[in-house]
Amino acid sequence: MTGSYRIAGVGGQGVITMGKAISTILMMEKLDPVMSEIHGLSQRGGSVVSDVKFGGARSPILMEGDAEFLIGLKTSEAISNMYILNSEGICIGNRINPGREEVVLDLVDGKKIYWIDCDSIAGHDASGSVNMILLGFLCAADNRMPIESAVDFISSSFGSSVSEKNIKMLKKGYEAGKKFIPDQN
Amino acid sequence: MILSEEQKGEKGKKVLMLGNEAIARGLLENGNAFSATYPGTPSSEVGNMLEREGKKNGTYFQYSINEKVAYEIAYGASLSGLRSSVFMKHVGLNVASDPFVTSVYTGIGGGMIVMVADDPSMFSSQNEQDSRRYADLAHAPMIEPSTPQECKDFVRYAFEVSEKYSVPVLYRTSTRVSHMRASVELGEIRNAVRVHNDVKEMRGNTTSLPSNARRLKSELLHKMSSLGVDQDFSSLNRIEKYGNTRTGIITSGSSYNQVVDAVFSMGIDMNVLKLGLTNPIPQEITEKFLKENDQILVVEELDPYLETKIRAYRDILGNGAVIHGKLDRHMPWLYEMNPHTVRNGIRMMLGQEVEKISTPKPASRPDFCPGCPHRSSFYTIKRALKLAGKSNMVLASDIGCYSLSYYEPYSTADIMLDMGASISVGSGISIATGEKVAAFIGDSTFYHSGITALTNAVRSGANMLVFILDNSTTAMTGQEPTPENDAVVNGMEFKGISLENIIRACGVENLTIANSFNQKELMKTVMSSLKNDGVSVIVSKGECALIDRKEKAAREKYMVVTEKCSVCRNCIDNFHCPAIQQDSEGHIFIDPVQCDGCGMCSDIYVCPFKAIEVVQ
Ligand code: SF4
Ligand code: SF4
Repeated sequence: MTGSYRIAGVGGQGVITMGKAISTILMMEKLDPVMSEIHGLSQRGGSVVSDVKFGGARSPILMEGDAEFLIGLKTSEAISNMYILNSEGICIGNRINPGREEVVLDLVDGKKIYWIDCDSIAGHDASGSVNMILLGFLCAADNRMPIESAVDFISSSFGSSVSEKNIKMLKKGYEAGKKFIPDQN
Repeated sequence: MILSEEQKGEKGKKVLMLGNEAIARGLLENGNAFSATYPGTPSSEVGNMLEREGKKNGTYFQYSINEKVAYEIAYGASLSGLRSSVFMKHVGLNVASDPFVTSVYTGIGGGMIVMVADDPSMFSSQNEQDSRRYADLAHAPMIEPSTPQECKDFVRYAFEVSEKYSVPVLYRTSTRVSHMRASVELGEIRNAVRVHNDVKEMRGNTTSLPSNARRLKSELLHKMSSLGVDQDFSSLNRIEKYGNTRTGIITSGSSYNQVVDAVFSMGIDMNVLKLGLTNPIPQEITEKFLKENDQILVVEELDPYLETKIRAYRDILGNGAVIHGKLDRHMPWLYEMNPHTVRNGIRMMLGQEVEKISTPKPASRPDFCPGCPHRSSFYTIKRALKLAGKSNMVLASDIGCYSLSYYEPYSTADIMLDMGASISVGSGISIATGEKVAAFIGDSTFYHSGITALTNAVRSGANMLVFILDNSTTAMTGQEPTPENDAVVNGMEFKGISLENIIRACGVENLTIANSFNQKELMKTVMSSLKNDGVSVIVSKGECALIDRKEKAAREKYMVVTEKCSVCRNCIDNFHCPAIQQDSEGHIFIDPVQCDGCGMCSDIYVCPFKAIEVVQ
């Protein structure tokens, strides 16, 4: 089994934390992840991406059309990274949806784009929790990422009060995913 | 706060680690005692981690003023018997090359590792030099890990080679190895090692007079040929066989990862010789590989370093394989390897059709962070130059975040060469043309290489306005301290060194300190300093937006009051804070996620309609 993920967002949104979360969960599942990070000049001014691959991949580099999942913490970053998805790829992107629906699904040439209105799911301004909500949604969309492992990652990585808040947001994202995505195998 | 994985780690445990963190961990597990660095992407996280965790095994660590000094300090510690190490980016090794090359002659005491990180594709660098050439040039042993696990494990061999042959060892990575995160199995931390070494007894080696150097050079050549056949370090290299074939690939470092992925994705048979020791090329295994294969592709990033050596080897052996690589255009000379370029190289070797390569998306143009002091400085300086009718002045920039002022709308950089060059190149232009030139240099870069340049500029009568953009940190690489900051090193407190005193000591008489975030005051200062002859200095002080991000996260954000906004777009077109955006209906708004709350956009100089206010 192999898999590949790109996480895209802007500085301060927790792109690297998200990459570490996905990698750690995959490690718990004995799936041997590799992850790339961008530092220095190319990180300035906003856009940050991190790629994760697992299942025997030695190099984390993703090229156009390689990724199974794109997690966009910001709408514009999700859109500008859409090229990375393969033909059946899934994008999980943060967006304010027109009617404030929690989740909107767009289908573009076989790709599934789930637009998640994180504020609406959180019930308030979710800017600090976007990565947790999307991680929860990803756990619902990707059967290699058990929600229990995500909870374990959070409790072992943050202090108790932050953990509690993050787990709450993770679960909201997860429930939204379970509700919206029909029959995940 | 996330506990770093390595803090929680213990022997036998597998943790997720960055390549650079794994190197630091390897140092702690192998009795490293002394480390120095000048930070530079992609090498910085080695120092960052040792700063936090060096105490675990008693390692002394310092951020030095520049790479040359870092090198010499570590060399001094090695001569005193300590296992020592120094880390830098590729261009940093240019700065440290002077002591490096000669120290390979003189020999060392405690094992010494010189970690250098190359940056193929220039993610965060001004050139794409191949630092492996330095190993050749200096006749220094070189070790190249490919994965975070090897980053840690090969440290052991690097110290052993260094001590067995009494030479510093080049430990070479590239961006994709240094910044790759993967699972690493930890070993035990080992207390800092001090071997017996008496500098006095070594003086016939460590005083590099020609009479000594002649003997040392011949000894060095001898050491290198012995290392080439030394079986003690054979586990650095290995042959991997995929299926049954007489076709092979020779590779090392990051390229190895690309090679294995490419071979798997193509589902072909291939033999792979993976070299961990890349100077000297290990003789036995290479000869074996040349005999067992009829065709060999050399896959490496940047220059045909291995390829040239392998071709020479084949010629000496006389019976070896046909070699392909960069010299016969099977592989590109430019940029880092990716799965496409490697697959195409293999296809060419096998006489198959090559696939069309999709050009990788160019990275989006970098910009100053929201809340960056430099945005405010350059916005104001540009206006001042325009007002004073000096928009044609030559503007020399330097290495650091502020070089992003090259881009629109700031356009306040005409030159950027190397650390400290803003002042020296600028003074050359001023002397040659008789015109006033402006130079922009950050505080950390000024300490690194600007002090000598400034002294020289004053001495040579240059007509210059030098801006020292003092953001109190080495921002680009990860907010490392500068000599201006107070510091506690090994329990001893050190007072920061005054930037002002240094500038004055360089002979500068016209010195003004301004606040980057006070546009009115900065404007006035620039206008009046432009009238001076000789060298004037303006220190524009404003803290990097990434310092104390937590504290700043609590700051008020700003918003655009739509009724007051005339949509003149000055805040977007000329000030260019990424947090300020225009929506599909044409309204200007501020993205609260990105806004740093610096308040600069609410200044009348940015928003003449006073439409930007604190969020209520
Ligand atoms: S890191 Fe600091 S100095 Fe560099 S662009 Fe960001 S705010 Fe400015
Ligand atoms: S206050 Fe204005 S200039 Fe400062 S970060 Fe926010 S939007 Fe940008």
